[in-house]
Amino acid sequence: MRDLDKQFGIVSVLFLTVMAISPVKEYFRQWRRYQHSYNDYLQTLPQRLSPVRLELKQIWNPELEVIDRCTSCHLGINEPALKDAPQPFTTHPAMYHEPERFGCTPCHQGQGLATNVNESFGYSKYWDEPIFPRPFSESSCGTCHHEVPVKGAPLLNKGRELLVEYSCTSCHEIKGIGKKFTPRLDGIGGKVSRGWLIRWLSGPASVSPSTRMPDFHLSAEETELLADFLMSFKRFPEAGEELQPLPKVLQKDIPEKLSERGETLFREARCISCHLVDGKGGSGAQEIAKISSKASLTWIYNFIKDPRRLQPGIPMPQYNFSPEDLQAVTAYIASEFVDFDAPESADTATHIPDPNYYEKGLALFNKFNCRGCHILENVPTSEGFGPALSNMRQKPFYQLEFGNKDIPRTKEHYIIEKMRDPRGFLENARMPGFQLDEQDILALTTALLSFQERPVPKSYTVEENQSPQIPLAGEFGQLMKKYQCLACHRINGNGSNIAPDLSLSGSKLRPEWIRNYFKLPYTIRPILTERMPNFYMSDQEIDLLSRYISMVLRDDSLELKQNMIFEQIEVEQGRKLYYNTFACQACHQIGGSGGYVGPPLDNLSGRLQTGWVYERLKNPHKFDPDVLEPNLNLTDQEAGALAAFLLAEGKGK
Amino acid sequence: MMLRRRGKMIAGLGLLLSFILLTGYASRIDSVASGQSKKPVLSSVPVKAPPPIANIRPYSLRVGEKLYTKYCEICHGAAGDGKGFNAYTLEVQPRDFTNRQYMNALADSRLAETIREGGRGVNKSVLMQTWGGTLSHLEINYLVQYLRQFSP
Repeated sequence: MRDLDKQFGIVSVLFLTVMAISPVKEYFRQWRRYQHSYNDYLQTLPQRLSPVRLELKQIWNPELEVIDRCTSCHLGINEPALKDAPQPFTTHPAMYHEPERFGCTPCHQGQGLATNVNESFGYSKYWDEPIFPRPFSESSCGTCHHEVPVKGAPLLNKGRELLVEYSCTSCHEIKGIGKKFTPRLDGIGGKVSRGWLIRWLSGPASVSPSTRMPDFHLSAEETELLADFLMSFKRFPEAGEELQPLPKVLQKDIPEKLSERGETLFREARCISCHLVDGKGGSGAQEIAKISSKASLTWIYNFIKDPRRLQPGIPMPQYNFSPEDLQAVTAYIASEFVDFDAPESADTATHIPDPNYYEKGLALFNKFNCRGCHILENVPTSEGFGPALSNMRQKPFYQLEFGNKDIPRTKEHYIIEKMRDPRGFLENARMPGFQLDEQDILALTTALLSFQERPVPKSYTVEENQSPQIPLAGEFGQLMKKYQCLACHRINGNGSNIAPDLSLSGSKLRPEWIRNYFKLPYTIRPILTERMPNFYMSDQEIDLLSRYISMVLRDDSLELKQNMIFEQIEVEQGRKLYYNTFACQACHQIGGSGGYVGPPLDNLSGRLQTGWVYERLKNPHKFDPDVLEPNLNLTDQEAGALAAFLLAEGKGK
Repeated sequence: MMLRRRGKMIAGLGLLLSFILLTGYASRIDSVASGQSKKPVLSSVPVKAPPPIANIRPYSLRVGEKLYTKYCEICHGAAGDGKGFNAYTLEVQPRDFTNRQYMNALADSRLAETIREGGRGVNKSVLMQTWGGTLSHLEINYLVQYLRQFSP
């Protein structure tokens, strides 16, 4: 009997011990140790901070499907005094969203439910989305912020721009990303020479360093076949098959006088606002310093005459040159823009193409998906050629083919390596090589990591301002198309950011000024490369454009203020404010003295309307949120005085 | 009879013991696997992270650079030496951020104040504009960090 008691006692003790294992284990959890050390650490600080309660902390947002326990150890993220505390207690640097609402993993990734370091950072076998290396956190902004640009995410913005710039969507599906203009190839045989095409195909960047066309690393044989194939397309279906013949004067030796006149016109037309010539000029269009060695003179002549007849959709304006002026500009281009280093292509005449060049060339054309960018014979551009990238952020890890590459097995290293060496992972990869530097690659990686297919609730996303497309109909629309106004300017959210937004220019500019400006555009902002070209518009066209702008592109809320009247005393007050208080002369010129950052303010009353000047002074970002001018938080009285000074005088001290 | 009961008892005890040992061992494996010492080391948690990405600058400097190029470079220069394109038109020359001695004497808060309030606010040349109405506190802090790059 005593034996039994003893045994019963031992078993009970053992049973209790077993029962105690779980709570004891719970007691020694990693997060609890961190919370203890946190409270200990607070004791060592000079300032008094209240210790945390020992408990598992959790942020729960069912809408975002977020359950994050990171704050169980990261205890100081909201406490500015812990700026220099050791991790994991450090203050979170700049925070754009309240962590209580958004949690941590939407931005950082990792495993929110886990409560020990390795599992929560996601460096474990069973978790596909480990915490982001810090530089790529910007990609998380892109999951909800679909607007362009996203404030405070320079790398993401640059990456998205590059995706458009290099027309990545020609081969890969990427939702919400557009494409740049790429030329049609119909008629290419009537435009370029075979020798040029071979040089181009074997290395586009060696012919034109600023080109966006990638290098497909074709073999010499492939290059020849593809060139023969392309050279067989000599007709221009959009241009009624044949080009107009060159005028007689351009067929023989070009008279120097004509070429000189062409040079003047070339300058006035501000071709280098978009085209790069000898290292000078904009980046909106292609380099043309060697264009005469590339395209035939007949093609150049026809193209300048009506660009969209040969290349539908190209953003080049159609200048209103007279026939003589057109000859002069073509003459200038023919005599100056020649590649003097180009090798003589002697074999063009004697070359006998492979008997099956057409089939073989077409096969190559399709193999490398040239159609992705270039339309040929109205066959639509193909899509979905390469793998879709719309879900790169959540692409399962096992789908990444690392091949024999000796690189760290992470998604970001994979993307970076893929762009450094596009054909390095697989033997039969066809992706071409783009001219990207390391910073470009990091930006692109950031952008690619932002694409996910899992929907984010509408209330959490920021969409791009989707403005309705301006119908380019009617006479005004025709002119907008002809002169490609939206290639530089923006109207009601449509267009480009190169030149000022014209949405409210009817309320901003005086009608007489608009009219005169179209007749003879001059440079309002001297430091810019991109300047308003002289389109040589006809009087009728000028009349129509200026009337439309003055009557339609208006802000009615400015109407009352346009008739503000100022007193002489305000002019004097304004002068003092201009020179002594706000030092506007740091950036603006009046009477030849002052800075070059903003436009000169001479003769302002001849250009701008009163109400607009006043409102703009009150808040420079009202009309253009991106403008450089600082908001000086002027009072009504100050703004009135400055407006009075600028409009009444504007002619120096 | 007695013998059978004792046998059962011993078997039960053995089972219990092995259970205890097993759970203990399992929790040991757990703690070894997570690579944790008993007391967490505050400054460096030993985690096997992938190697860092080369050639990338911290976020604050990336944002700072963007802001600097847009708002400051035209007067203070791309190199921060105060020789920007617009500098020659100014009566008082812009600050040279590469002057280490001068810059080290300035606290971050003072730099931030100058950007926020302009020359007017800190008794310097009024030609330096006030950016407090345009840039947020955060942006100004990024700019300050970027300015520090010119005099490391």
